[in-house]
This record gives sequence, structure tokens and C-alpha cells, in this order.
Amino acid sequence: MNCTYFEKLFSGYIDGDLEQEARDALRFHLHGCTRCSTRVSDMERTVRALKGLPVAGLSSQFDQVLRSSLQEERTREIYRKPFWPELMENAVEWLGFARRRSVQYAFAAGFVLVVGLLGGISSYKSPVETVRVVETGLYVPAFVEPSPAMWGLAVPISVPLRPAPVMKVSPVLHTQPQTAVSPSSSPVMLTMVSVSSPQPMPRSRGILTIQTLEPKISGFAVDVSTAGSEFFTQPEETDPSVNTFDATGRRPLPSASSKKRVTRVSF
Amino acid sequence: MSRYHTYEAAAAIQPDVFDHLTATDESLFSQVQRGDMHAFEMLVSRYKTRLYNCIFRLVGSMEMSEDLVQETFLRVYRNRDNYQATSNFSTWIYTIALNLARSELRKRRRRQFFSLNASPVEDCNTEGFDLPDPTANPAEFLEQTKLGWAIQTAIEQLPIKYRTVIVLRDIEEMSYEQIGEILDCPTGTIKSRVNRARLRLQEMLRHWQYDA
Repeated sequence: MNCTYFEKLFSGYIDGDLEQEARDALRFHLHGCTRCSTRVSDMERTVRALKGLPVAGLSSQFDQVLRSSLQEERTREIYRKPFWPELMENAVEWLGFARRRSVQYAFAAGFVLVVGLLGGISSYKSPVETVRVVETGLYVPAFVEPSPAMWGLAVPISVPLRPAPVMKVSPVLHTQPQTAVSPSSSPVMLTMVSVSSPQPMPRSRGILTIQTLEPKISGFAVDVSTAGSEFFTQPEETDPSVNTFDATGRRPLPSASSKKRVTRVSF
Repeated sequence: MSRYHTYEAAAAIQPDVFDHLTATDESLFSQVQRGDMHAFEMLVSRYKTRLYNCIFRLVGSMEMSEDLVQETFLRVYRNRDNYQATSNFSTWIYTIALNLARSELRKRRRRQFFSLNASPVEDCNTEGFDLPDPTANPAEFLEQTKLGWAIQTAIEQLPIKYRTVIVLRDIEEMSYEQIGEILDCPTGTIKSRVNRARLRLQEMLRHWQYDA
């Protein structure tokens, strides 16, 4: 142990805050080291001088100024505005005070960044969705073929037509879960339950979005002019007494005669 | 046997019973929370000089220190509902005062840093600071021989963290534990800072004959 080590103990030694063992070791060292011994006595004198510093006095107006400030504060409390208007006011005031260019630029950049991030996050849609395979009952991730409609873009008139085997599934209520396979490009299992609105749809081309009871799968290109007639057939009458279930077998559905199951069909 | 179990309980029911002179800081402040301004004045009278000295030793300017003490009391009053009776009132008020003083010091340091007139060597060098040589200019020396001035000048040359602990420990004579609470630091860190601050001060004041 050298002087550097003992130097760390000086304060504790002066304050009487050292443990017995450390104090004895330091004392022993101080007996043999003039330099450290001088420094300890110098430190003692410094501490004594600090403790003996004269106490500065406040000016005579202190109490009066404080009292009037407190009075103002109390008045302000009485007439305090609600939280949000006050916050806005403070923000405007702060912006007014932020005269420095760097502050203004930083604030503007931060604002743009936050808005951009929020917009990006909200518009992002993952092409991978979790779907439930009816046969196994397991939830599996499936890649849903991205379509322009998925990203909220314009209706892609030029999207190649596909056969719509799903449309052939009789959109009625069944006692057995009715399943259909989506087009071969997509591994998603589609479950059709029923379709509302047997009214003839306008004969036009568009992107038909089918929302099933399973996780949403969208973006099938169909030609309504050709597929529509098959697709929008009237549901067959089923026996109302048969307890019908949806494709997942989770909850009973009303019978076809009483109320048709609504499946959203949008363009 | 007293009608009330505690003094505070009595005061809560009968405000006139409350003795502001003998009440603890915490019970005075609980009176303030109930709207007793007389209790607040009592707290001001107890703390104003201590806080002023503490801040003055840190900041070095009398006017600024007075303003900061005013601001401290105003903040205490403003945040009276946030005070939790579990903590020590003096720790709380010192925390507020020191935060204000330290932010003022940081502001000042920034101003000095950006000032075109300030010498960077003067501002940044805290290690090699020496007080004026007593033999160089006898007239000036006579003017500056007051020990208080010398110590104050030396304190102002210390970095803020050392300045704070030395003022709290050796001028305000607080315990290491209380300093640790105020500065939100472990006691071991405070002890080591105090030791370093004292060593630096002693180095700066080595030419001065205090005892004389």
C-alpha cells in the first residue's frame, strides 16, 4: 500500500469515519510519511476554514419580494386555466422563445420524422398472415399474394383473370364446414360460409375482396361479369332445425331462412 | 391526558393550537398543504439563510443566489402537493435548490463557452489554478487576503460535482447519507468525491496561512 492508496482515506480519517483497521493502517503510514502527514494536516485546516466561513446575509427586500411573488402565485392558481389550453399556450410560448436556428431545425426535423414514422407504420401491411387450416385446426403463417388493392392503390383493371373456384362453393349454411382452396398461387385455405345480397351486381370488372370468418384474405381478381352469375346464387334452403355452424365450428349460425350470413363483398 | 393524541392531530382540528415555532419541518409543511401560509413563512425563515449560503457558495453571485432562493421557495410552494411526507423536507428543498443552482451553473458555463471574449484556457483549466501570488503585488494582496475570498475563489474553480459535495459537506455540514439522498448518488461515491474535492481545494489553497 502506497501514498496513493492512503490518500483516499484522508477524508474519512478527518471525519472520523474510518473503520478501526483502516484508521490504524493510515496512522502507521502517517508516522513514516512526512508528505502524507503534511497533507492530512493541510486538509484538516482546509475543512476547518470551510466550516468557519462567514454566513452571508440576504438583502432586506428578500421577504417582501418573496411575499409578493407568492401572492402572484396564489392568484395564478385561483385563475389557472385548464390543463390542455395551458399546455398549448406554453408550447407556443416556448416555440416563440426558441429563437436559435438550430433549435428550430431540430424541432422541425423531429416533427417530420415522427409524422413519417407514424404514417409508415400505419400504412404497412404484412403480406404474411396467420390463417387457420380447417382440416387440422392449426394456425399457420401463409403468404398472401400482394395485390394493388392490398396496398390501397387504384383498382388494377389489367390484373389477369383467374378462375374462381371459391365462387363455386355454394354460399349457404351447411352442417359441415365448407372449405375451398384459393387459387393455386396462394396456399391460403379459404372458408366460405355464405354470401349476402343475392342482388345482381353491376357487371364490371374489379377486385373482389372476400372477408371470411377466418383471418382476412383479400385480393382475388375475378371477373364479375362472368363469375358473378355463379357466385351470387341464391342459397339453398336448409333445414332450420339443423344446428348449423360456421367453417371453424366455433359458433352456431342462424339458419338460411331466418337470416343470411353476411360476407363482405366490396369493390 | 391530552384530548388529542398528537400535536398534528390537534392542529388539524384546531388550527390555532398549532405551534409554528416548535413544529417540525414536515408538520409545518403539512400545514402548508392545508393552506396555512403562516407555516410557509416559518419554513422560509428557517431555510432562507441556509439555502442562500449554500447557493452563494456554489454560484458565487449574491444577486443570482437571492433569485435562486426565491425561485426555490416558489417551486416548493407550487409543488406542495407533490411532496411526500415519507421523505425529509430539508432533503427535498435542498434537492430543488441544488437543481436550480446547478442548471444555472451549466447555463453560465455554456455562455462562457460561446463567448468570444472568454479565454478557453481560463474556462477549462481547473487543475492548474493558482491563487494570486502574495508577493507579486502587495497592494492587491492586501486587498485579497481575506480567507473567505480565497476559499470562495477556490471553490468556484472546482468542477460542479466537487463543488456541490464540498459545500454540502463542509459548509452545510450535512451527513454523507443526506448528501447522497439529495444528489441521488450512493454514499460511497459521495465520500470519494468529498475526498477528491478536499484534496483539490487544499492544493489550491496551499500558499495560504489559514491559521494566521
